[in-house]
Amino acid sequence: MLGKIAHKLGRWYIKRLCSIEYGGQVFAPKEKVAEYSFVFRKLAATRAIDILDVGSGTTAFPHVLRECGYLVTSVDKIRGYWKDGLINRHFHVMEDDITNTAVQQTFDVITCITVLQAIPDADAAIASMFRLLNPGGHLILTFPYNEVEGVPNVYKLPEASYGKDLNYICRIFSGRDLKHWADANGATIADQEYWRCFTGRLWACGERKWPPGAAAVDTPHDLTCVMFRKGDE
Amino acid sequence: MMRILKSIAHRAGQAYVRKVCLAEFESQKFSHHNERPIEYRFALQALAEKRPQTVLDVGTGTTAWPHLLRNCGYVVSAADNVRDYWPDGMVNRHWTVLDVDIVNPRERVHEQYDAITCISVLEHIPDHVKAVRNMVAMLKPGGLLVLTTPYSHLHPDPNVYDRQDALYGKGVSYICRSSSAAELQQWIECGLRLEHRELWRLYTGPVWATGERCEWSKAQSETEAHQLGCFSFVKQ
Repeated sequence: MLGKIAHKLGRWYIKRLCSIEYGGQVFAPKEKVAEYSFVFRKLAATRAIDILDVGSGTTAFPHVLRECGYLVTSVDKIRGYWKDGLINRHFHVMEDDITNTAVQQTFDVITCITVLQAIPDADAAIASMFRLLNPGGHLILTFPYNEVEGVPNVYKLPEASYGKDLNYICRIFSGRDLKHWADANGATIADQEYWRCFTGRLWACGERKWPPGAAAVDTPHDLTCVMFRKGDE
Repeated sequence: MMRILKSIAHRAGQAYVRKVCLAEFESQKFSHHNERPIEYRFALQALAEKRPQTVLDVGTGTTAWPHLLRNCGYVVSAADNVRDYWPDGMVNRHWTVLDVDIVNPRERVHEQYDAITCISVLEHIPDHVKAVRNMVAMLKPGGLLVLTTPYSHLHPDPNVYDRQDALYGKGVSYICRSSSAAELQQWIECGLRLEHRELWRLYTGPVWATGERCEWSKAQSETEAHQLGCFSFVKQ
């Protein structure tokens, strides 16, 4: 009886949350459509079973992965990034600092979608993620990128169109970073896409382009979607 | 006083959400790879090519797909025939799902969406042509319709779950149609132009859910074996 009442109240609470979110929608173009498209294309080509999503935040992404049939684990460094704590109503998110992870299990695929740029010690995060991958496993990453020019924190640049007041960094990685990660972790780049999401020279500079445009290594780009394979091809 | 009550309700609600999520997390079991990665990628790619701002998902059920679309920035609505397909009620904890029967919507449909997605739903609707016609009516001119459904170009089957060789689905209360070129033509005649089509082989049998599950491969032509169709159309 009490359980039933708790269930009804819980459902009412969830409906109310959903209703507030639904009613408060404003069109807000983002690069996610290109990133998720890349992730699902790559997942369809692997036969992964266990997947770790790093930095899920409040997104439904880990739940959508579960809907695809995978066994999903989701982690986020809640303290430090989420001032008022983090409640993800879609999937159970474990608190974990990926630069010093407590996760013991290993995975066939690890996804980390638009998260790495906010981690100061990105090399440690990458090393951890490779450690958590099974041999032959795949690491799928998306982040702000410029093939030739890395930037420690683009929000500090005068031409950045937003982010100056945020309490976390936004690093732009370069081709040199990718090569370093591959060499340091015995991995190869299995696939890479380049996207242009802003009209400026770098991520967050200029205005947002909608929809994001597919680019190439030698044309203007500010975002990459990349898949590493642990071990040689 | 009101603030304290609100805070208590919020904490209790969050505790409930945590409990539900944890129970789901702990009860995960691997069964098989399903076709969603193919379908979601196709739909997202089709959406990325266009410039929709408003998206309707038809037949959402309990999935988090509309929330993922919202995360891409779209203004998202979700609809499902809750009272007929979920007689005990349905709660989607990811997104508000409107109770709409796409075959017989109670309210007059009007052109309001830039895009509609309907992922692995049409096969369960007996009057699929009427469903597509209503979806077209809900689209703005030039709007995008993304459909994914069991499909074998040359082998229609009104209900694969009734087949002797069906791997699963016997005795379920809804049908699973495998559409073919004839049904595709009927959808186009609702006022659509086919933009992109992908045919995928997921089973060794002639139609959906027959034979054995196999490595996925994209069929290069209609004559190569396939059981799943992903289609994007533009409203004429």
